[in-house]
Amino acid sequence: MTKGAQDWLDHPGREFKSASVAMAIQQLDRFVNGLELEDKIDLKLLDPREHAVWEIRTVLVPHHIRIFGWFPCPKHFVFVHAKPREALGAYGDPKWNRAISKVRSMQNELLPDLKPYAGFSFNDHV
Amino acid sequence: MADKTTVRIIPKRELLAYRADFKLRAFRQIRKMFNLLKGREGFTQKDLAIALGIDEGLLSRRLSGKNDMRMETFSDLARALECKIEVELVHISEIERRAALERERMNTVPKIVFYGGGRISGEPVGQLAQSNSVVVPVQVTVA
Repeated sequence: MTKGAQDWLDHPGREFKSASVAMAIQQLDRFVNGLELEDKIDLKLLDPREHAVWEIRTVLVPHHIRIFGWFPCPKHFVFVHAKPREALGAYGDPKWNRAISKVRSMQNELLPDLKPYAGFSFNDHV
Repeated sequence: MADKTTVRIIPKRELLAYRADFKLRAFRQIRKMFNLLKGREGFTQKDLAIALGIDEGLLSRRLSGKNDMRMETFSDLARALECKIEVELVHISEIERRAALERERMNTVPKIVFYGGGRISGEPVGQLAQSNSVVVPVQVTVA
């Protein structure tokens, strides 16, 4: 794991609650281990859909976290950054656009020649 | 009971991970059963809310994971779904043994792909056998 990702897991910052980070890690574990995840409950394709930016969501534990990234190919999720849900404001707020733009920039930087994977259904991704 | 000299203080982080895992598994079971009944018997969220005597909006937030759920809530939902939650304590070593067998059966390889030095590595180097991949390419910025 990169130092940066490890740093976030070890020291996520004060705006992230420990219990929420634990839940985020469990959600990532479930994805990596191929356990059941549901569309729009655990993962969601964000608008505009053509940008193919996804979020992995924490559930249950208060102070939810959104992990932003994309699928370059089936079953491969690129984890770009994480934000507390509360910090993003209402859906459509410019903060959402910034979170999405950050993923778009990373798509262009890392894999400029590879179009994000779109798939035909949710199950093509997980 | 373990010898007091050998008792290990469990880090808070580990306890939180266990709690999250426990909650997620219970949540999954509830959702799975609800989806099953919805598809098979036309059972609706409204039916469930009526059965529990709670507001449908509240139930919706619970079923979508937006609200936290306590043990009592899981139990109530299970009852309304005509189920009972079975509890079984299984030693960690046994869980790990079963997971190893499952990995062997599925013949999976580690698939956490790590990124470093400007490109995504194609070499899986995760510790566990997994079927999906998370590529972690950048430093996560936190304010």
